[in-house]
Amino acid sequence: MAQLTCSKLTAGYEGKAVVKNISFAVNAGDYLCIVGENGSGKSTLMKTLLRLKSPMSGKIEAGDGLHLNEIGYLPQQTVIQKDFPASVREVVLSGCLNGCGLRPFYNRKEKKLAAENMEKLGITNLAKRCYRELSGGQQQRTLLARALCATRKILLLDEPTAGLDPVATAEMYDLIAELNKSGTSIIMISHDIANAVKYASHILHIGGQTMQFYGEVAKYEL
Amino acid sequence: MKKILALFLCLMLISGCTENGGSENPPEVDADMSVDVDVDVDFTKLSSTMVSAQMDIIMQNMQAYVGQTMKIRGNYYPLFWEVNNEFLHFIIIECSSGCDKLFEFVWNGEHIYPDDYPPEGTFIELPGVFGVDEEGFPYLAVDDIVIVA
Amino acid sequence: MSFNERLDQLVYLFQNFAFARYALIVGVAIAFCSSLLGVTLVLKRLSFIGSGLSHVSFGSTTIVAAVAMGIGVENFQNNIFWVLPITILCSIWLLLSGPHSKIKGDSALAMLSVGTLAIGYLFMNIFPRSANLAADVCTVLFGSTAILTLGSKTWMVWLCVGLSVAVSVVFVLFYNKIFAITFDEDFAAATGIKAKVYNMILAVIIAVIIVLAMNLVGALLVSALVVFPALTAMRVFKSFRAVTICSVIVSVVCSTFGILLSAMYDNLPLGSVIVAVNIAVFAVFSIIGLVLRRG
Repeated sequence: MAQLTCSKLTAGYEGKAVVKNISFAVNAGDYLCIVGENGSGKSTLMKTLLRLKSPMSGKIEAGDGLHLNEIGYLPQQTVIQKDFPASVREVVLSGCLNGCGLRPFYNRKEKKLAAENMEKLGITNLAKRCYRELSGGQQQRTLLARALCATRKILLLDEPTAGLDPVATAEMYDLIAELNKSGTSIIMISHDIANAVKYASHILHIGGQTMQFYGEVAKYEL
Repeated sequence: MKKILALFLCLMLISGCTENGGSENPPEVDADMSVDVDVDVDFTKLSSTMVSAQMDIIMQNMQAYVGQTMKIRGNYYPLFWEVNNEFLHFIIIECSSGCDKLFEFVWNGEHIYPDDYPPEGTFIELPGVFGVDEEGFPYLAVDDIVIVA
Repeated sequence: MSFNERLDQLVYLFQNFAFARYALIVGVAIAFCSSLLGVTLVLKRLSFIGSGLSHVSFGSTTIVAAVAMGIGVENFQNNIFWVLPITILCSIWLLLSGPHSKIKGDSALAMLSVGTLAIGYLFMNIFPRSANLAADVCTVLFGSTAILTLGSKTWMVWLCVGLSVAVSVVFVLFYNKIFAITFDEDFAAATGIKAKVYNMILAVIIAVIIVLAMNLVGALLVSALVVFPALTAMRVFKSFRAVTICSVIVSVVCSTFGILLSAMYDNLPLGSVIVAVNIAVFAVFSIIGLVLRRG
């Protein structure tokens, strides 16, 4: 069974459908890129997948041992984050929260996990630095480390290279590819079709409020 | 309640004119300031905010303070109370936020107004005993009025 | 009056007047717990929620007092048992209409805030509880002596200290959750955190803090008490934990200093003095922050 299956999903908000009849399945280890014009509903779709919005119709099913709260998420930057006083370590650690339950403090295992993920993304030297003072690329890596703390199984990324310079963009894509190679499934929204085609295993193209294409990248025609 | 309201209205009206007879005789005053008697509530040692607070507290728990000795300072303010056809004597205590308080005092013994009393507006100090009259209004029973320079 | 004489005055006050001692204790407790959520409120762009909620408190207080007078019962101070639940409900309503409908949150707050302030003041004029209306308004809006008179009621003292301790304990227990939903609520919700529940807990804590803080600095200045220490701490410190700890220390020091100043010098109404001290400390920390950043 696939890790995440979407069946005839219609998503929108305030009674208005933004995307209709979306069906796809993500298996363990897949790298799915969701592409489409700006405003085509990609973010809405992702938010619905994450249960941040309720679907208007259709189903989202988790399988293959995946629990719906084992999903890691890299959202687009919100305004609040930019001047928040938080150290990198605090931000990354907050990804472990979903395993805490009612426990008020992080245990040693979680702190170790956070340290490992920071190491993996090359930001250990930034641990005590203030998040708001970092460059765009460093901030994204921090958020990615945080997402990894939430799960190893599947990551949903919303425009992870938005606002990054070309070097940082390339680094980010490389990082994500490495994560995918080590077993993490990836669902990524991007309007950078060139890179999407280069790295992904599957493409979901959204346009005209519906699915224009879903399938393996080799079969995708630009 | 209504008495205080009426007095407050009077205060507003009177601000322009004075009923004071402009007494020529200097009032009899005991200038015994050298002895600092230990009083229960010495307002003269408190800042204006604390004076205000302590006054509020006393007003909310009047019975608890009956019989306690107090020392308080303010501007003397006499008022003619038509109901009893007599003069009542108050001091005005300045508090923060421009909300002044009126506190009645009664001078023990035989004293005639305006001869024995200081001119209106004089800044005086009253060492006395706190009491509550039959109608439930607070007052200070004093033996001496001390004029503060 | 020399400075030493003023110090003597201070000693005399605290030695002989229980209300002052208790007021200081409660003041410190309130300053402690009220600064805890300052960081969260500032960062969720809800700095004015303090103001809005305190106006609601003010409005509901006067309405309840007017009703009580009509029935012929109750003393003003006892209203905390009405004001607290009403404020909590409004807080929940405001916070839950919050981050995803930002515009709605803003105008809802504005409406509630100014509306209740107006109605409260209107009621105070129509149904005055005492002849000295100006003083009453002053006390409720600016807290000239509210905390001091509170100090004379032992049960209120214990209640306020108890609430402050409870709020602080809850804050510590939910510290990581509060951080997560303040920093990035979407992420928290997406990874399985019950963001809505924690937002509600936050709303309740904020309401309790506002009602308590009103007793210290009055309804109009509550925002300042809650928000200034956090802003001050953010000038210099970089991590959430450091900022939180610093804002608590700043808040307690400023409030204590404000109370002492008000006790030593004449014509210093308590609420305004505390806020003024906070402003001064903010200025100092801003300079320190600038220097640190250049160096």
